[in-house]
Amino acid sequence: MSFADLLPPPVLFFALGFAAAALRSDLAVPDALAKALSLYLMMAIGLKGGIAVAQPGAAAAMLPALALGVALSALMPVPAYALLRAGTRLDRATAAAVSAHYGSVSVVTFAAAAGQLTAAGVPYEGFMPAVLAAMETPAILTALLLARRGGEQTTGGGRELAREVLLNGSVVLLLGAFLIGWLGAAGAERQLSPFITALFPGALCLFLLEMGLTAARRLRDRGRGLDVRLVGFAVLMPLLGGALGLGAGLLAGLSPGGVGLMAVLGASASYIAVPAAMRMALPAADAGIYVTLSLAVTFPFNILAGIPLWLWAARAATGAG
Amino acid sequence: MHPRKRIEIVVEAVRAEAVTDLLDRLGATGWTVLPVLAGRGRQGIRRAGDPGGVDDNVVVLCIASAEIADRVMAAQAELLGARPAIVSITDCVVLRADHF
Repeated sequence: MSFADLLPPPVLFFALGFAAAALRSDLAVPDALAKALSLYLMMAIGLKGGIAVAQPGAAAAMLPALALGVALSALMPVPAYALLRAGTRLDRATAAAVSAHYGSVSVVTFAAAAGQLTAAGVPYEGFMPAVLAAMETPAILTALLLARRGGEQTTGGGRELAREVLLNGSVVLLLGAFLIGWLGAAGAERQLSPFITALFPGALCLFLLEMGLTAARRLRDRGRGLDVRLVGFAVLMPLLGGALGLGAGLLAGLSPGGVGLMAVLGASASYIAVPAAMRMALPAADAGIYVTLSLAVTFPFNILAGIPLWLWAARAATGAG
Repeated sequence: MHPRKRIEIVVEAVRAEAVTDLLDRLGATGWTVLPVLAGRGRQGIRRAGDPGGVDDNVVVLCIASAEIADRVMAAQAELLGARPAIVSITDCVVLRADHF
């Protein structure tokens, strides 16, 4: 295994951003560009997935993988909440909000893992972006149920919650692009290939540079509220989630690449969609805790250690070497 | 010149719409929402631009009569709830009385 396999350019750009912010460099990515890059990544992932699924026979096994992904997202907040309540001093609302983040998924962690598979020439099921989209929101519902059961006030009626769950921006874009790619198939691939394939690794590098900057600044500004037990949770929970994802991938009969992505999905924690939903629905929960854990501890952990670990574990578990 | 009250509310961006809805209901004739780049308070530094937009704050400005300002003060439970916000009311003067 070469240096470039262990530390591919996107990971190095993440490290560069992290180091630059830690050393207080004035390097910055404009907010609007960061948001645009995140839209681009979701659109490209969705389109590529849809185009891949349009191949004959490629949609087989999509339903079991989708169902297991939804079940994983809906159930993972339960052990997360139990761990937090037993092992840390978090109040109920914050514990429930944190558990939603760990049940849901991170698009960029998925993109980084998919990028590594593509760079290594390992194929994976084209429908995985649909699994990604399906896993974004079930965890939000479970976490709100956990909070309500604990007697916490949740705000927003059923309609607001339904809008948050069904019309969440990243879900709309991922699934919409997936459908457009599926319907457009070969024509879409011809037209869009330079945009969604050739530009993808560069855009991912730029976005991960921004994520490195954001994570380090966040740790500096807001990291004081974290104690050893919370940081321990933010490392332990992705290991548990990744193992569950690995099991789900094997159960769904996915390829080694697909099993690796499923494990990465299980390990990843949301830091875009879920924080916004929790701020609306569980205002008493401490956003300083849940955003910092997910963005500044678990995301770097997954980028640096989790992705190589799960891609290796998937190869080992499927007997692909 | 006509004396009015200048109501300034610093609030999370995700809550801005709830605040402007409340101002509308209380009879304000208008309001202005300004973005906030960064701020420091009891919870430490908040910088705008985190990926989920959860740390983004805005300033809601509303120039209104003393009567409306009193109504805003009376509605403080709804305005604040469990959420962090900074509400201040100061005296100001306006040129056109019929607008505020």
